[in-house]
Amino acid sequence: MRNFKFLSRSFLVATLAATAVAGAATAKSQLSNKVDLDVAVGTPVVSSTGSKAYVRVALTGFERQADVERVSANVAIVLDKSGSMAGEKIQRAREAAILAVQRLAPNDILSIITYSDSVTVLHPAQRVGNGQQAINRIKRIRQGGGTALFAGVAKGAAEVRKFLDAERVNRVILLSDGLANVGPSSPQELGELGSALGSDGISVTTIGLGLGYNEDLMTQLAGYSDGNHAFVQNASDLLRIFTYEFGEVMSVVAQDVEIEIICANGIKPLRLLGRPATINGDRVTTRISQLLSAQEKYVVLEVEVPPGVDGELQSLADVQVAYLNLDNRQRDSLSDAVNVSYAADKREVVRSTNAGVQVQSMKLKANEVSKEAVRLRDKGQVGAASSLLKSQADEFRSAPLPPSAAPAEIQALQEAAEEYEADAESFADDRDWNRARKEQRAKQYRKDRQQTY
Amino acid sequence: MRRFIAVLVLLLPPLALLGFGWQLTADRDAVLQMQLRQLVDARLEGLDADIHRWLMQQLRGLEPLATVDGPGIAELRRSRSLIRQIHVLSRDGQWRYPQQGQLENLPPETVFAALADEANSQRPAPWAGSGSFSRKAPAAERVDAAIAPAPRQGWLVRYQQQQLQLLRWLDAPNGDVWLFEVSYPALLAGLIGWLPDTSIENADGAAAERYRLADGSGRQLYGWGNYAVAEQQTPQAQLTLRQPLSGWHIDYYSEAAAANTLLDRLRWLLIAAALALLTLLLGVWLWRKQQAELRLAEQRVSFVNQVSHELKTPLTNIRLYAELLQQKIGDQPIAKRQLGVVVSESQRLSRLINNVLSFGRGQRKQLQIQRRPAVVDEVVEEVLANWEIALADSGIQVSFTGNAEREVWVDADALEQILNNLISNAEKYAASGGKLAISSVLSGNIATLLISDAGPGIPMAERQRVFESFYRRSDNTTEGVSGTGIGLGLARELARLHGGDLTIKYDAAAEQGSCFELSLEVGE
Repeated sequence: MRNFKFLSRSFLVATLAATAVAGAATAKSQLSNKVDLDVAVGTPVVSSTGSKAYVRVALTGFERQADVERVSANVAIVLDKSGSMAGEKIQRAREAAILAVQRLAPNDILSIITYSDSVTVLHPAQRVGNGQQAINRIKRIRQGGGTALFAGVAKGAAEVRKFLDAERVNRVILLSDGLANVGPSSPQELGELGSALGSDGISVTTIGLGLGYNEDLMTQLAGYSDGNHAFVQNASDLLRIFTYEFGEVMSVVAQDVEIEIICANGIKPLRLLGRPATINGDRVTTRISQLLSAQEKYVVLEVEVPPGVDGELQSLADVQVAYLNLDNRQRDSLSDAVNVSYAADKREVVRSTNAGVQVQSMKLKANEVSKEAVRLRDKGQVGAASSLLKSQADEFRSAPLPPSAAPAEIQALQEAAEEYEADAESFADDRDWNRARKEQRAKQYRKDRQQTY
Repeated sequence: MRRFIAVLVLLLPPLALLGFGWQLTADRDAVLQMQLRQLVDARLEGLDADIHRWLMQQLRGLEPLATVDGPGIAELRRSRSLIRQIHVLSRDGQWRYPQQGQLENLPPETVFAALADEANSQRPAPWAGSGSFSRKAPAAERVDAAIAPAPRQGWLVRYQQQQLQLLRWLDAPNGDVWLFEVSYPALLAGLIGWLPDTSIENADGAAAERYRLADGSGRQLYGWGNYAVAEQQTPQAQLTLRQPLSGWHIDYYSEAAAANTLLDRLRWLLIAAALALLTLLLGVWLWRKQQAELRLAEQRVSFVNQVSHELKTPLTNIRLYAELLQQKIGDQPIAKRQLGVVVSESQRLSRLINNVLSFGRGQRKQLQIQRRPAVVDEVVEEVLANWEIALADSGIQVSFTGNAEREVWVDADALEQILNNLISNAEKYAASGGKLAISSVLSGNIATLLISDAGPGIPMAERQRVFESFYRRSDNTTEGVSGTGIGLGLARELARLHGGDLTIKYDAAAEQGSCFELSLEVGE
């Protein structure tokens, strides 16, 4: 990747110098304990007739040292105990919750909320301690009643709020197997709730169990608060999912990451792929709730580049990132900028393509195509959805890559093409659509957010 | 008529008691209901005030910025998760922020109209009690305005797609109107977080209750409390929240309504008690009546007893002289026969008096047996000799088979009385059969006598009842026959006192007639 950054290097020097002065004043930690920001464009050379370009903003969490005390967690587990949870589901949910308690450290904050028609704060937010009290309470959970999902999450959030702290991983983990039927129940309303919680620093992880839940609602709630989402078809997989989720909670190294992309003059931001964003004029803002140890998360901004003169440089965008570094407990900031140059020769465009960035961008873009296919399928246009996915597969196959492309990148495109072909078939299958749709939603979500599981 | 009045008099007190108690519980019920209602109303109003206070607290410090600049407003919005969007409207009706004007269906005129409305209107009247809730379908375009205590700020409440949209408006010093749009889900989630949850166990002694927060279309937003509300159950109390949440209401349900059923139960208890009292009074009345009758009967018996005693001495004299005369008149057939009638009638009268006196003794538990040496067969023969003429007159042929010739200890008088009664019955009722057979046998210390006739017999159903005192059969076979109705009962009592019994022997072979079996315990 580094070899493709030479064009922007000179601009970087100026901006980095400015931030370095500010950074040096506060930095008491080593350089290695900083989040790595990498801004790149898939096509560093664009056609002089103008075209779309994809700016990828990647953030990689620093590796957490094993001997450093990890950041404390503030978690609310919200369990659906409606009548449909009867049997194995509630049993597995209890086991998963007990496992969660056992994985947490004595100093972590835990609350447990159950809901059916009503909401019960089974275990109010408090330090885990030896966890025995929480475990005893979990064992008493019995199923029965409706699904007041909204109220359950609201109560979970209220418990998290009691110990809300920017230096803790504040998270609500929702497990539900059914359609919300008491209180606000639309994906929009839950999405807006997620958005409000997200801006308060609380992320909601939603785990859909079985085939009865509303995947749109669950992904919206998770999406706007930037939590995780998982589809667990068999209750026996719950333990595994909880293990991943708590593993993630414990490897957070930075959070409340605010990303601002300021497009240069003449560059028009079209859409941000991967996350909800606000586009106001030339400013695009988005946020990432948490960065994990040694894990990369990225967003891709689609921009419109105006026509230019062959050989001329065009500034694309400035990127500014601010985040809470959980190692030095300070709010760090990073910035970077990215340029393109024009070329009249299209072959030059291909030759200079940054294959890694281009593949990531294509995959995120294709993810939007997948969402569009679901929309079409929902409207009953099964054929159109299927052919849309097929044409996406073809696009992957015919994507021009430079000779310098690594075998891994070529293979990634190949795999993506195959995946979309398989999806095209599964969209055409009516019998299994309910399950497939949940799987699609979970997959789309994973790709958008680079979710680790 | 007297009985009717007596029943009425008996019925009146419990009925009055019932009515009084009923009224009392009804009054108590009403008072309790009212107190409960007031309590619940007060609690709901307190809750409403708390919710309002909570809401105002969430919005505390929300002020227009000095200038309208995009990043500043975005920052302000981000710092308040409850605020979904901020809109700035200049006095000349231009949306200054955001330029696109994201508020659907809200032309500046509507905003100004609402603001003007606020300026002209009074402060909203203090909340008037009792939850009289009227369900109004929220009109899509309905715009309500209300004043908050501070001047030049207020609420703009509207409904967009059935969803409450709250806009807090504030006047900026430069004349702009700042509208802070509250996020409905964030508001509701915050409120739910602040409201109580439903604990698993009920607090000790507290009645289970249930609160239900619902929006204008009756959709439940949140509910808490342990009381399980039945479907279609009407709430005990309802309160519409104050502005700006006036589209919402709280329903209250509780177990305390079950106090009602407790009172109901009390009422049923009262009815049951009144009925029991009535039954008791009736019982006492009947018992007293029976006692009075018994006393009367005793008095009668004792009267008859005394009379019989008085009759006994002259009758003994009549019998003695008549029998003496019988021996003296020799062979004068007419006089002999007439004297025979005198003797036999005086004997009958004597038996009657003996019966009455024995019965009287029996009533006073003074009937006793006095055993003396005697031969059973001789006693039987003696009795039959006394009956000879009377039985012959009735056309009854007597046969006696005696097998108890040994001298034993027996109360001959009692045996005689028993036999007299049995033979008298046969003479009265079984004369049509024309025969009377008596047999005796002595086996160990039991003397058994069988007295059978060939009369119409006694129906199976009456075989026990004939031994009851004063029982007299009444059918065509007994028509015109006189009797006291104590003979058989007395005979059985005497037999039992004698360690034996008197029973009617069932004999399938005999086509008709009765057979009495008399057994007596005799000493050697």
